[in-house]
Amino acid sequence: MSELVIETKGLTKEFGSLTAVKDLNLKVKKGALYGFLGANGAGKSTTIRMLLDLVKPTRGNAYLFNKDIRYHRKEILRKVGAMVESPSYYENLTAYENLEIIRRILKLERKEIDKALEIVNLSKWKDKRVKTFSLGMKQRLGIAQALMGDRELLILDEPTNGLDPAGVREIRNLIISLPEITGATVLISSHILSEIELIADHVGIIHNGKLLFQGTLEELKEMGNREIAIKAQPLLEAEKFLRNKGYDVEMREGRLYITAERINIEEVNREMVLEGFGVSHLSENKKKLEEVFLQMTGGIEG
Amino acid sequence: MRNIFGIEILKLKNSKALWIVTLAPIFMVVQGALNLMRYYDLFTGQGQNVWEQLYSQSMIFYVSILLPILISIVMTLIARIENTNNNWKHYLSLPIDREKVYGIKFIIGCMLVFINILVLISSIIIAGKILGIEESIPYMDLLTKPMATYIAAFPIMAILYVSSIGFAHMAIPLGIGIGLTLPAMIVANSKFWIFYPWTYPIMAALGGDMEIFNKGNIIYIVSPMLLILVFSFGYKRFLKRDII
Ligand SMILES: Nc1ncnc2c1ncn2[C@@H]1O[C@H](COP(=O)(O)OP(=O)(O)OP(=O)(O)O)[C@@H](O)[C@H]1O
Ligand SMILES: [Mg+2]
Repeated sequence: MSELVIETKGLTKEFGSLTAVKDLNLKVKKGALYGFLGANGAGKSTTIRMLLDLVKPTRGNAYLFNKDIRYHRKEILRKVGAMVESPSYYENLTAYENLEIIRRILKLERKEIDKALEIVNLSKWKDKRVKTFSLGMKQRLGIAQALMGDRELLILDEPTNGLDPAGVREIRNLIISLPEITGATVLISSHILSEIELIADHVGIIHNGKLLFQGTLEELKEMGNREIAIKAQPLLEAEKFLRNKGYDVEMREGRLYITAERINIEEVNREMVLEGFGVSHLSENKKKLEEVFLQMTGGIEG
Repeated sequence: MRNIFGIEILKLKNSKALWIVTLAPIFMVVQGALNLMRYYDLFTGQGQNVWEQLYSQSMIFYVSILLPILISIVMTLIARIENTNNNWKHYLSLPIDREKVYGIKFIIGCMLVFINILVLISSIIIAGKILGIEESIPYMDLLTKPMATYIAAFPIMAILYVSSIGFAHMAIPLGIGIGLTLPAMIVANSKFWIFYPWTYPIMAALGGDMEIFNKGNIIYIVSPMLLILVFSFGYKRFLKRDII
């Protein structure tokens, strides 16, 4: 069993009659690049705020580094770099001065500022006031703020939100490189499946405040129904035969398609050959991750 | 504690509005001095002390309008630093104490108001020198009354601070601050003045000379008490508050 950096137990937040986060049991392993996926309003930001002790849970607990955030707030937060929703910055100050604030709070050496600026590629702009920055630059500054001082856990809430495609790619590549550069565990939230697919190795899917799936990206891809395409002679009889065997069969463009949660492809082949069918093609179509996701969340995507 | 104080001061850098507000009394004293010059005979014809005339000329407008409005703006701007650009969320996700942040920001707001009053006093003295007033400077009056005014303004400072931090939108505290300022002079003339902290600076600054504002020392007890009360209320709320 590997070490957990984040673990929540029955974490719940109610806003009046609305349950934004419901009985959440999150587990993020050390070293993971954990993608926290959910449509708009699914409860990602609320969860992240509870992890950072910005919002008090209605019920349940959040443990970071095996300690309850409610009772070890400062000790834990020293090791956590966060960017919640949109980037934060003091617009009257320069990029450097913004990082100077973090430096003083964490009591770091000056060179840490330059190091962080270097990683996010802002060194050239460090003496410019943030007021003049583009959104992408502000986002990078936000990540620099989270990085400073070799923090062990980075929590980034939708860090590519609102960026143009080039900006999205730049931030994405930056995030992918983070565990290698910093050795940190990273939790990144997003409502875009393809983004999580590109970045993360572990995934948690939240929907209407509930965690629907948690595991590796590979495990997620294995989920959902599989589909097998068959070309056999004689076709109509083969269809009848498979139907009688209890499979869910569909005929399209001269092929038979079977869908089921679990199919043993070799067994299907054997049964058909034994029955005397001429099987000329047998293949498995992996379902696209997107379909898995849609199936899981009941067809609603943000 | 010192660390956070330094950080909070750093955040004020390049905040022009804040400095304009803090230095605003200069313009007002210049106005008062010009007024005095224009009607010099009228104001001093019966042998009144010229310093006192300069003081009250400058002070009437200051305590009844300018000071409370400046306090509103100072406190709103201080809160705005965190209320904009998503800053509370990030600042409070750093390993610092909410308690200290809340306290130190208030102290800085109060300091700016204090600087404001110091600027006022110095401006009056400099203006008097420039006008060439021959009588010696009545330091006692020129120092004690503004200090008393400062203490009398405690409740306004606390009310404005608490509402500025409490409401994300700056229009609300500014509205409260300005809205409650305007009737202050009228209420000051009524028997209900004690229930209206906006009248306290008027009493403190102008009492003594102007019979009607001479209401005794009760404000110097009520004022710090209200400060503690209002501040504690805001402080407790802030510690419990969900940072959204
Ligand atoms: N302070 C609040 N008061 C009332 N309801 C809230 C509050 N904050 C969030 N909610 C509600 O809680 C639910 C979850 O919101 P949350 O911001 O956590 O979602 P999210 O997954 O981050 O969505 P997005 O992708 O839009 O950022 C939403 O229905 C939202 O309207
Ligand atoms: Mg969100």
